[in-house]
Amino acid sequence: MQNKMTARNVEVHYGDKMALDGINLDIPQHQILALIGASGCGKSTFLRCLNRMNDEISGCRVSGEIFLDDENIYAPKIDPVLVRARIGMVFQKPNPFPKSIFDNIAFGPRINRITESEAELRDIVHYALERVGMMDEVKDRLQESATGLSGGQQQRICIARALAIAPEVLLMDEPCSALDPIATTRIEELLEVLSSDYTIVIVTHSMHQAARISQRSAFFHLGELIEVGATDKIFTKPDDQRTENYITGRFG
Amino acid sequence: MDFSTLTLLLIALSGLMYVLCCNRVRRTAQTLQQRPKSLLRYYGQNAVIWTFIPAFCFLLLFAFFHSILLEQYYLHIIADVYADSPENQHRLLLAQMKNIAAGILSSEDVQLQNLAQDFAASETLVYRARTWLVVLLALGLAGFAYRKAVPHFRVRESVEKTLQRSFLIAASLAIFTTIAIVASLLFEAVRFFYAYPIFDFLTGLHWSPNIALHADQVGSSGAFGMVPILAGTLLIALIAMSLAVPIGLCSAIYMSEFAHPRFRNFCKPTLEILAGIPTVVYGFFAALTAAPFFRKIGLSLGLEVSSESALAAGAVMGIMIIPFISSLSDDVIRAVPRSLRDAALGLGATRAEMVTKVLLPAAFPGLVGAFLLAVSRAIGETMIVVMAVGTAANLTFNPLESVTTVTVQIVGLLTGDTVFDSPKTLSAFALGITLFVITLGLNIAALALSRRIAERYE
Repeated sequence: MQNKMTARNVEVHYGDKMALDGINLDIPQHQILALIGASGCGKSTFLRCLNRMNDEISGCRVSGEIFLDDENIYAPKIDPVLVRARIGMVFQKPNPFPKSIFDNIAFGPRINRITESEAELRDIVHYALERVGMMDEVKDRLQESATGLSGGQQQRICIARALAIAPEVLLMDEPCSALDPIATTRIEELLEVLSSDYTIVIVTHSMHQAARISQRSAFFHLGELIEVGATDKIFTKPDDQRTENYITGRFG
Repeated sequence: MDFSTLTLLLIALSGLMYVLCCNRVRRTAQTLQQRPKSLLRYYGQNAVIWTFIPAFCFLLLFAFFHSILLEQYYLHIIADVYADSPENQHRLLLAQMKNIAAGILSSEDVQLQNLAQDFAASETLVYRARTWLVVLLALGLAGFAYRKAVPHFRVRESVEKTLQRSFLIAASLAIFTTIAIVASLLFEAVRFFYAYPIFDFLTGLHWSPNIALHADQVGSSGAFGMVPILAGTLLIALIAMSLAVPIGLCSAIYMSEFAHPRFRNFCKPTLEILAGIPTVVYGFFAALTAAPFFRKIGLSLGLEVSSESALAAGAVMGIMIIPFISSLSDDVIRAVPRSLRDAALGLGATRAEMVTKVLLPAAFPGLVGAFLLAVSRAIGETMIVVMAVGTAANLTFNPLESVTTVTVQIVGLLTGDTVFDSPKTLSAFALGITLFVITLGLNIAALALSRRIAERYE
């Protein structure tokens, strides 16, 4: 299995506080990797390192190396804006722009100059909507505001928006925590389909979700990566006592 | 007893009642083996409410109204006694009578002296009656509260209701004051419109409020068309806004999105100092520095610039409202949720793209609201224009010429010796109400717009 991304000795400090301590983690291509752990353990911080979103937080310092294919995205000559254009991100709360559905999805292609022609842009938007299975739901109201949709629909629009920039990696920060069980199921099914074309890293608080959808899981605890391996193994025979405690709900 | 003694007496009585009622509840609760329904201090507070508030309100009402009522009564008597003297003499006689009663004046008029004695006597009587009434009211209600101070009375509800009502009164007081101000404006404005038709006032193109006092005086036609001064006001507000909006908005964007926190912590207070400068000082600046400066530049470019140009006043007013716009815009931009910024940046947008494509469109209604508030400030601003702008009402949109504004005219019409029944003075109230209606409209529009943005991200 080829690795799409590789983290080497990643350390993150917020001011004087260390948030992540020497993370080494391989992210294989076209798989779903679940990051699990208690709140404040650093899994979201790590996720935001993968597309340099931590650059936007003042007082946050990242050291170490993260490779996307063979390129270190923390090398001095790298423009973080170009990194983010190759890596899609979906957030905890659905956050569509207060624009039309079409303009939401077309936002990424437009700013990244993926295409100059309106027809191609329309194809991209339609393709993204097809991928998240929403074409039929919204094909008659592409010009209506995306903020009028339900929470689950909004989150799928956000996924479509991320897909529209044709990302190689998809980062998801607890994408279902604000959704009801039915919307959650739809998103999980969607992720399984998408994983054949995209490398997906998902942060989740739901152990069941991690077990259901991911091939590999990584357990974070107090800023350290405790254990990473096949999800089956992590959930049945974890090597580390702390992982077992967390999985079985004895702390956290 | 005078007002302050009575008030002190009421306070002392209230304190006493507080202690007495608390003790009474505690004692009865002990003897009856019953827990009081409310905390002890509520019984005390209830006693204070009953003892102090009604008596004190009566005292206040008396202080406000007794002299008016008494004078009205004596005015009638004077009108009867001096039925043959003209009506406008009666008030003068009343004032004389009061002065005689106070011992400041002496008079040969026996009738008036008798009346003055009468007046002094009834004033003493009224004051004595007031003192007794206040004391009796306080004591009676204190006794009532004392009787009510029993453990099974749920006193907390009634205390809280009183508290609620007093908040309501405080809130409505501000509203009533506003209504009263508008009403007094309206009242005088209507008097003006009797003398001068409202249509001519609103659409007339000529403003020269000086009215001939003698029939043979020349050059004082007395025209009250407000269009030129409204145009002047809007011209100056427009100049101010076209300076303040770009600078204020850009500085708000820079502060909220790009500035290093250390720079922001230095810059925000500095801008707020700018907001704290008295407008009189801006007025100096406009009249003594900005106006000659613009004039000199104009001359070097071969342009004729008035020394009281709209440009100078508008530019200084613009400087004055920069902090206002920047601080309001900063609030509006910050109200756009972090998650929208993240979404844009996560899709590979640069900071500048994020600001122009996401932040500003999302904040747009709120920003327009902020600008409208600033416009209404600029229109109502007085001191800068009084000092830097002329009084001649030219109907022009050339910023290099001298114009006048509504506020300048109001100040001009109401300062100095004025007679409150000539159209010249009354026109100030008509201008005032026009100004009020314009700024009210702008504020309502601003409020509606900023509420729209608040709803979107509730």
